[in-house]
Amino acid sequence: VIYLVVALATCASGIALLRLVRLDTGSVAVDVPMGWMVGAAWFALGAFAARSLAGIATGGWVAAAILALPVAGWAVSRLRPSAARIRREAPPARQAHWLPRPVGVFAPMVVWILVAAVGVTMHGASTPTHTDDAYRVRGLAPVLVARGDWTYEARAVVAMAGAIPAFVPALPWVAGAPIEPLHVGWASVLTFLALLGVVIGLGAARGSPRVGWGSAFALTTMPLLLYHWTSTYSDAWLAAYLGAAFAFLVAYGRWGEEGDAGRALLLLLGVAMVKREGELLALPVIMLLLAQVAWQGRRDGLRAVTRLLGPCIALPVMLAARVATVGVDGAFPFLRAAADRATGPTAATDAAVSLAGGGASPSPARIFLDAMFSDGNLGILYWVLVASLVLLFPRVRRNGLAWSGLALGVLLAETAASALWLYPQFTLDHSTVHRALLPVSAAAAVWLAALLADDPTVPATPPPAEPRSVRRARRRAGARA
Amino acid sequence: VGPWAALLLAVAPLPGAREVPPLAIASQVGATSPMQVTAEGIAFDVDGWVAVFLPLPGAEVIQVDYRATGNLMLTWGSADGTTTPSPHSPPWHHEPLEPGTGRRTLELRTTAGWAADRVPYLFVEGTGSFVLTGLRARPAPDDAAAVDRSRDEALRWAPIRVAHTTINLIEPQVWLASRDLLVTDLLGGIFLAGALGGTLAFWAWKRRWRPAPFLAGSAVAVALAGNAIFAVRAAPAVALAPSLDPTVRLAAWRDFSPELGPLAALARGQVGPGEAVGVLAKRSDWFGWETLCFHLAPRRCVQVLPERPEHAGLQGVDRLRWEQIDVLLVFHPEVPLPPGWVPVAVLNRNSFVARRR
Repeated sequence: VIYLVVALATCASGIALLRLVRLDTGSVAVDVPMGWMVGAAWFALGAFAARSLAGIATGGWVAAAILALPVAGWAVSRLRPSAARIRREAPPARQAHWLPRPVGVFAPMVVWILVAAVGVTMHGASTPTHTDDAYRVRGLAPVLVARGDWTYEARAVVAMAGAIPAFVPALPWVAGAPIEPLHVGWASVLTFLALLGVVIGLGAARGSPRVGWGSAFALTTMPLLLYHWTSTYSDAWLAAYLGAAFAFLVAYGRWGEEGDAGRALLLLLGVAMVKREGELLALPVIMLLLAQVAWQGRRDGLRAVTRLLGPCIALPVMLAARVATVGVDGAFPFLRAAADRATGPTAATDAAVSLAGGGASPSPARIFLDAMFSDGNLGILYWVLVASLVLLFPRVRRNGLAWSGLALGVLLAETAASALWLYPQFTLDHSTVHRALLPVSAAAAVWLAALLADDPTVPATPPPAEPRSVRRARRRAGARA
Repeated sequence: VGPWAALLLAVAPLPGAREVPPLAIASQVGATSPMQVTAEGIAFDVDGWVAVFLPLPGAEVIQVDYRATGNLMLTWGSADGTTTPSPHSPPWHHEPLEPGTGRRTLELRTTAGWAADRVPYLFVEGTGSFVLTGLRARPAPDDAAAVDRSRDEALRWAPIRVAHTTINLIEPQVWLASRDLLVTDLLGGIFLAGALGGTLAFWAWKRRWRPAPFLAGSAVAVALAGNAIFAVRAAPAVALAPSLDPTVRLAAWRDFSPELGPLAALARGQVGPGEAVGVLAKRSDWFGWETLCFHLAPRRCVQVLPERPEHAGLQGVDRLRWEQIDVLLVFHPEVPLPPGWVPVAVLNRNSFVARRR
């Protein structure tokens, strides 16, 4: 019961936060799953900052206060509706459309999505954590948070896991449920379901159910990603937030609604709260998003960028919390590794190069390409992506996918740089190359679905109804007038 | 349905197999531990692990009848007789053995490095006894081409074997092992043929360039085929029977070790939430003590290394001196139980919970 209550409370907190910053979509199907993701990120940020910057342990009351804050803020904001808010937030009305066509094509896809969702949920909820990384970091961090450990060793584990994987699974335990290591993966499974909900709901809400269902289908055709949802590994968290962010990035490119840019930004901030390299994935995409907003907004562009900068305060807060937790050296190990690598090969890379040179193993580049195209861990995603990019290139611009495509390219380049240049030894031994591709592959799946399934030459159905909060505000303003 | 189907498949008769009475080959069986030949079969006492090499060169599938006691797991593979096999290497073929009598059909063609001239081995680990009471073997075909075809067929639909490295990668799925053709390469080729062929055909017919429907249609069809293959292979490994009681789930969890899940479950019932736990296990066995400590959380838990003044737990977070430890979890230790400690809950002679006298 506590798990259910906590999930609902997190969701409610996220929805309240979305309404407070006027980024709710007006569609329950989108706002509820996104509420979970945003609420989880909000709680993780608040709890992590409170613990590391203010020394406040994550107890039940603290958790309740963090979750209640957006609800209170939203309640207060409802008392003061403003005409400006109504003007800014009223999106063009569209009608939700859930059934993709042709039904004959999409029906088996929907069946597969359901099979994958049930399989992941059942297996993820039933299987005890069993990987070394989970024992040492990903599953251990929430236990330490719930236990209140804050020694240097405990802080190092929490910082390594990242705020979201460390604090969110611990939430039911700090709320009073007994600490149960077997349930540490439940939050990850719920986030997987939330991701599916966001992409399907958003497609339906925007009158493009083919994009929504296509995204969910593409996301569930990657065997290794499905397996990761059932583990406690953080690559699954990264994939969830990045995939959901890309759903809004492509929507922003397609429809140009500023709200979608804001929603993408919130989810990208969530990406930055996973592992110690989350911000390295999130930052370039955020920069590109802001550039896109400035470019598309034209005369109002800079003002729009300024409006988006508000939530970005989360990023320095999170980084400051991490530095306070483990110091500068421990907070940014990847930057340090990159600096070391740039100044000359390290012992590990030397060993890797000599191993590859011996002819016993293919080169890192070959292994990286095999991981993308041949090994099957990512299904046939990259075959379809490359072919679609070549054959449908004009559609990239027409569908408004150029900026998000550029962001995808940057992410892929980052992943390749890590696998081929920074840590080739982990590519040669196959230990990280496949799972390092999972986050960018989730983004690629969503982007690909928008490229393949969305045809702007087909007249779109009307936009969804405006958010309920805006409707209420409009009614109140009308009544006062 | 899945477990029942697997059970029925495991005990079904093995077509094309010949009966190999264990007693008839007993003198040629190689084992790493002493074995006893009884009227029932070939018996082994399992105390940690025992490897048994069967004199059945060329076998592609074997079926074993057994009687087991205690907590055991069976791993199988093939060996060439010149190198020591690595039973836990991927793809790790293993199954827990229920106490009592049973039958297992063991596919050798899908194990690492199998060839028609290799001999099968059984690797039984845990604590208990194992009696090989019956044996059947299906030999590989005589000619090399038929062997290749046979292995190709076996590997094409081979179940995914979840192991310690699965989190890093799922073993690539092959379609034709004899030609190094992977399923994804095959599907990718079909996708390209469908997408390009359809686009070009439509262009030739209508003089219109419309690649999107053919890309999408081909992608969906091929992805569904890939998903179906993955589902068939993954189904045996998927846990579809959740229990609301975590301790029950843990007790039944023997995917990686026949004893760790049951021992952790046993300990959770014995150790209070405020008590400090030490795990006495083999120094080289990282998985054992880490599994026990993790699943005993939130209790303080450390790996006991007798020569150390202070013992450390996962990532060094928990640190306990010897006198601070309230409970010992003993799991195949290298050293005897320290004086003054007595077992209070026993899974078997190698796995138990001990407290100070």
